[in-house]
Amino acid sequence: MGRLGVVAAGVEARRQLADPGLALAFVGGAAALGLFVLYPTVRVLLYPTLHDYLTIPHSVRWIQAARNSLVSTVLSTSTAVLVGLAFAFATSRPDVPGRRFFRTVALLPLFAPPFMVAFSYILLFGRQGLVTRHLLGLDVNIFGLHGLWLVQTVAFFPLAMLVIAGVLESVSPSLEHAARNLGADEWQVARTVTLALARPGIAGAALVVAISVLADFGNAVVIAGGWPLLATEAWFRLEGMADLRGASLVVAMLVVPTTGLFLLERYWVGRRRYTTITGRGGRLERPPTYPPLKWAAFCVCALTSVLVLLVYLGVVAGAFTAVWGRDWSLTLDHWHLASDRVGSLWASLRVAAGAGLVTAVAGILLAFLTSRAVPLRRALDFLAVLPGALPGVFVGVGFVLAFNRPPLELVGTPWILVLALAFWHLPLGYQAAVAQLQQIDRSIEEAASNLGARGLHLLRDVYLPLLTRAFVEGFTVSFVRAVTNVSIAVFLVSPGNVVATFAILNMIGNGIWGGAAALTTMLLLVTFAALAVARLAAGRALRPVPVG
Amino acid sequence: MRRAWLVLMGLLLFLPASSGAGPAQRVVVLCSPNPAWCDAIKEEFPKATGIALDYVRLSSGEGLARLRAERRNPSFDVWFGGTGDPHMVAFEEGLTEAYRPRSWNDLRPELREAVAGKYIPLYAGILGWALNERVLRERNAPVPRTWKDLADPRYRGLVAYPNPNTSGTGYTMLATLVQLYGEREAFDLLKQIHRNVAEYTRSGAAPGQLTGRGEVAVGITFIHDAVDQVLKGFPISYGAPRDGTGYEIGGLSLVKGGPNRAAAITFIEWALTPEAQRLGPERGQSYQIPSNSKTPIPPVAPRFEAFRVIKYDFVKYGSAAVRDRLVKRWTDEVFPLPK
Repeated sequence: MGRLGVVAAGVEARRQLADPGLALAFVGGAAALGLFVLYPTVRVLLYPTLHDYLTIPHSVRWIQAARNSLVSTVLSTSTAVLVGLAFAFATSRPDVPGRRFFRTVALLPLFAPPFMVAFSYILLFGRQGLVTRHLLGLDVNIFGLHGLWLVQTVAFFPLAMLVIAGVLESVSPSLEHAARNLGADEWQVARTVTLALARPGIAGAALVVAISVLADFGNAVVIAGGWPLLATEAWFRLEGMADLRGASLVVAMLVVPTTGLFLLERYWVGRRRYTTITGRGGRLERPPTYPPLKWAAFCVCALTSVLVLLVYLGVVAGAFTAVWGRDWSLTLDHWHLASDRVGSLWASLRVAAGAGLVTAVAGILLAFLTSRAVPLRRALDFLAVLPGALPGVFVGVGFVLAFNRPPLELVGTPWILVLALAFWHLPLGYQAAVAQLQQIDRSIEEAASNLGARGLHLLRDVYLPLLTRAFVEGFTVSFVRAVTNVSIAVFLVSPGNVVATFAILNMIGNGIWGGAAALTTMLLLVTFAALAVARLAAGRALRPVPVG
Repeated sequence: MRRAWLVLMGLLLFLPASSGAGPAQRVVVLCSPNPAWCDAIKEEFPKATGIALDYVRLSSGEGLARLRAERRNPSFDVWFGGTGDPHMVAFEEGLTEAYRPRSWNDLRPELREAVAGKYIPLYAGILGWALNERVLRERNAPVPRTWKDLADPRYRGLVAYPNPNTSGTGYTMLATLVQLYGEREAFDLLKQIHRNVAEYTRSGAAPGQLTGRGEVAVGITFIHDAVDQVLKGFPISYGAPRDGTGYEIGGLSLVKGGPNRAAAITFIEWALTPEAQRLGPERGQSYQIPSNSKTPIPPVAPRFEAFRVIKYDFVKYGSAAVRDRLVKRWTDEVFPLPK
């Protein structure tokens, strides 16, 4: 860009901010990002001294942990994204049998804390597992990186599915029809139209999953406790040694690969345009799916569904079994125990609803801002995605360090947990909104603009109707991840705001498995009820938006 | 569209209801033992004193981390239970303060002398292991008798041991071996045992549970946690190494600068009464030896006379410098070794 271009961009930026509504939104968005993303991050990163940073390359332990983390991330992410793609593909096709069932099943892992998957798989597939030993008579050691691979795939493929499905479903069938009419065979259609348009989704999914896997310690601690991983090392430093410097060091090491993933995603998706809502023409029926593709997706989904359902059957069975593995008689005792902790369910719902709201609203606002030529556009975009590169423990400690003193003394209130979770999940809401915005042709906006709409009016009248889907998605993903989160909760839970996952983790850690299973089942039920209400409320908005 | 906004408004109204803490007097407890015990004190303390009690359950390592992070503005008043070393570190770092309860002279002299007034002893528990003899038989491995037996390759993949980074139990084993054999020999032994370890667990109670389910055959844990597993019906036995074992003195500490100091002192006095200490075994699934000599010792509690317990140096091994150095050495030299 030449000198003239820079000047022109500056003029354009100033012109944008002349709109008072947009200027207000800009100030609000920038302040929120600065306060709740940048500030805690800087607080943690500046905690260790330069000398601490210089010791990293000399530590065998850090190197070993980094290697293990890399291996598990590559393996788990690949399988989770493949499975997620199969699910997204199957659920976007009306002619794949059982698509509604698959979609429901695929959402299930999002509703229980990830460590529950590891816990249940030990019960089912471990050395004394119900399936492996009692049904198949095998002697399987599930502890280790291979067990972690299986568990993380099952735990994280739903994230991939949600991200990819959001994009796949908005691909207009008319493009596939057009490709066919131009003589493309089914493979070419799938490769050059469907998959090509899904690319931002797949890239985004890989990013989200890889970072979740890297930062996941719930599963790692339960099933791979003998293997050093970066996330668990950070955890051990903090939890065991209260060694904030050591922990922030490990976390800094975690940030390197996650930032790399972030750049890779940006580079791969590049500046291509993925416009499919053109403002002209209606929506057509989807053409029948190419049978080999259809059945391949069906088989992957069916197999994975069995694995998912087994986890949940295991948990529900555990809630009614007197002593798992020993006394198989039915009992309701665990439910009495769990009902003592019903308050934690309410705390979870309140916190997660707040986090979901903040994530969705902030995500849309920021996506809108970064789609204009506002000042600091790139910085805002970076900060909006940055939290996705930060492990939960990092965010938790960052918030404790940042908000434990006046003027913003939030420690001990529910707000600190709400804000930490909301801004940690911001990239999910933001990317959902960005992906939707990329589908909107600028000509619609230009038309509205020519008719006199400006700034925030554009957001309200043109974008909001189209972005309701992004809102529902951002809210839903943030809500369910907040409900199941434990890595942040561990640091920010305060007396009177003890969330359910935290209570469950403690019950598991202290051998109260039946109670933990019962409380998890309760959490599942209440979460589903809450989501059903949300779906009902947004039902009208979820229909395709008529355009033009 | 309108419906979506209505729901949104509803949620906004629903949120602020969350911060409602009553004006009544209350005490905020960082509770480190079995959650069942925390539940019991939450129910009984208000009945005895009229003061409401809120708790957050954090294991002792986590608790110390939380107190350090909240140094400027503590949200807790009292730290109840958990292994003693982190209590001692907290005192050294000025996170807790010395408080001499009225019942000080009723506390078992050997316990209150061992902690040198840096925290208040709440209970004592002996380190040992849970054994699953069926798994041992299937694997043709003998019942272990000493720490050194655990280095035998026949136990490969059969041992669970709490990670000393997170677990006070894990650290107690580490410090016990160092006191028994000297640091060099202890670390050689830990490296040999490492090859047999199936899982380093987060909490000190978890190895007993893995043993109960038959995932491992030997789970290193406090014996009272193994007793809890036995009482819950798991097919395990328990014991302690004959070459000598360590023990813990669970702590009770007054947090410095907590929000409700007067209520905290009322709580400490109450927690040391026999009536309160009985809640541990009766309702808290916790079978340690209570610190108040007037509290009856639970019949199932492991007793010092039954095991060869070393003279554990709590002041030395509870100091931040020694603890941090030993744990760091273990984490650097033992944990990353290939198996």
